[in-house]
Amino acid sequence: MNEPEEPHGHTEPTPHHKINYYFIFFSLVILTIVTVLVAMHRFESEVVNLLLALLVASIKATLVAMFFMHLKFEGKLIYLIFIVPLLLCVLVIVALIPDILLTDPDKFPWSSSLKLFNSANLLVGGGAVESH
Amino acid sequence: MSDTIIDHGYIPEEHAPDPVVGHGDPTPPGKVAIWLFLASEVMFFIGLLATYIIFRSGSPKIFAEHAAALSKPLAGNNTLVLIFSSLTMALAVDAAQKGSKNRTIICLAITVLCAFGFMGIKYKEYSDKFTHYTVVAREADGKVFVYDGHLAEKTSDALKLTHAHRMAMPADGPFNIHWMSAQGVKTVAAMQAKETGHDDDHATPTTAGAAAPNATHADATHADHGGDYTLPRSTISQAITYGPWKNIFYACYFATTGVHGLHVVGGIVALGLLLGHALRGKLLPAHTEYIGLYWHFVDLVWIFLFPLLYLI
Repeated sequence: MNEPEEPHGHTEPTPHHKINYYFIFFSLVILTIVTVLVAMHRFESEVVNLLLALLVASIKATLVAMFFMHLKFEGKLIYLIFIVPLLLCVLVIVALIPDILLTDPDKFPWSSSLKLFNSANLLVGGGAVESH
Repeated sequence: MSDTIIDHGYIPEEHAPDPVVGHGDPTPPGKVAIWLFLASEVMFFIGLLATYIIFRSGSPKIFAEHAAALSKPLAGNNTLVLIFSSLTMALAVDAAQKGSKNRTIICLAITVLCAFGFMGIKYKEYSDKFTHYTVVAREADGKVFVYDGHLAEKTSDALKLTHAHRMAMPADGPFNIHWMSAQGVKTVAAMQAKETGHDDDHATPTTAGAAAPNATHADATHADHGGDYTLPRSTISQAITYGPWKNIFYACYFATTGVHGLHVVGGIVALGLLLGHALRGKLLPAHTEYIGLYWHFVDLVWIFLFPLLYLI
């Protein structure tokens, strides 16, 4: 028989965590609407737009992870497995920031970029560029 | 502090709480395995997203111009479809753990339907892109125009474009067909019309080969939906669809959404297997929970992709 076998131990029923999935779903729908509304109102700074979008997305992701994926009720091992890649993601983005900052300031649409470029360039031993 | 699996290793099932619905330590190996898989998938997707970030910061104008052409309503609907499928997946896991076969079957079936719905909307988005052409064609009098519109019909000797805008090929400066967008053609045509007084976007073409723009053009009060053009293949020097080869933005867009779509298809296969077992009377609560975790992860990735690609 090729039927997959379910793990069998003693079947004392463990208390099920009572999660109202519908409530989480409606919160996610509202947050999706918020995402769109927030994106429609564009701020001056591109960084603010990006961070705001990521903030709302992170709240939605936390809701899905905590409740749909039951992370709220898991033990330390699972948390360890999930936290490490999260930290690595942040590390990847942070590691790329110098690369982003040191691209040609002519290509940036943001006015503050030249200052950032100059700071980054001075950090790596180059010279400052005067504004065009 | 309770003993954890890190302290004493995995306890044989006979002594552990029911691992099927077990939460907390000791954690069933299956759950550890699926979370390890999800951890590697997170690193996979962050690689794609980091690539997107680098390219976006290097070509902000191209990204901004072409991202504006993506359909936000379609993607927004896709987001809601996927979130709803996450709900039904969580309900399916709950039903499987409580042993109710009918509820499991219904919830799993709805999840699979939502997944197909997601792929259907994605197919519409992609096919819209693959039938969107930018064409450079020369008229009989030698004047070169750039057209941008959707493919109405493709015959062996002509391309018929609909909802198309056109502009005269710029006399100076570099021209790259990869960077043109529909909005770009419209804007340049308007600029050229102001400068030369000759509106190429709305004027009747001078040769018999190209059809006259449709009547809605003449009405300035209505939104400009473009016109219809028939372009004989012999007059076309360059033509490109809005596929991943169009420019760096579309390369990133198709790479990230395409890979995500493949993950959805993988999820459909797994859910189908679960559904098959459930229909034959065998509930698999642990497997349903693990595939549920994978499905929620797929939803999570889309929750991040949607604002990054479509909204900002």
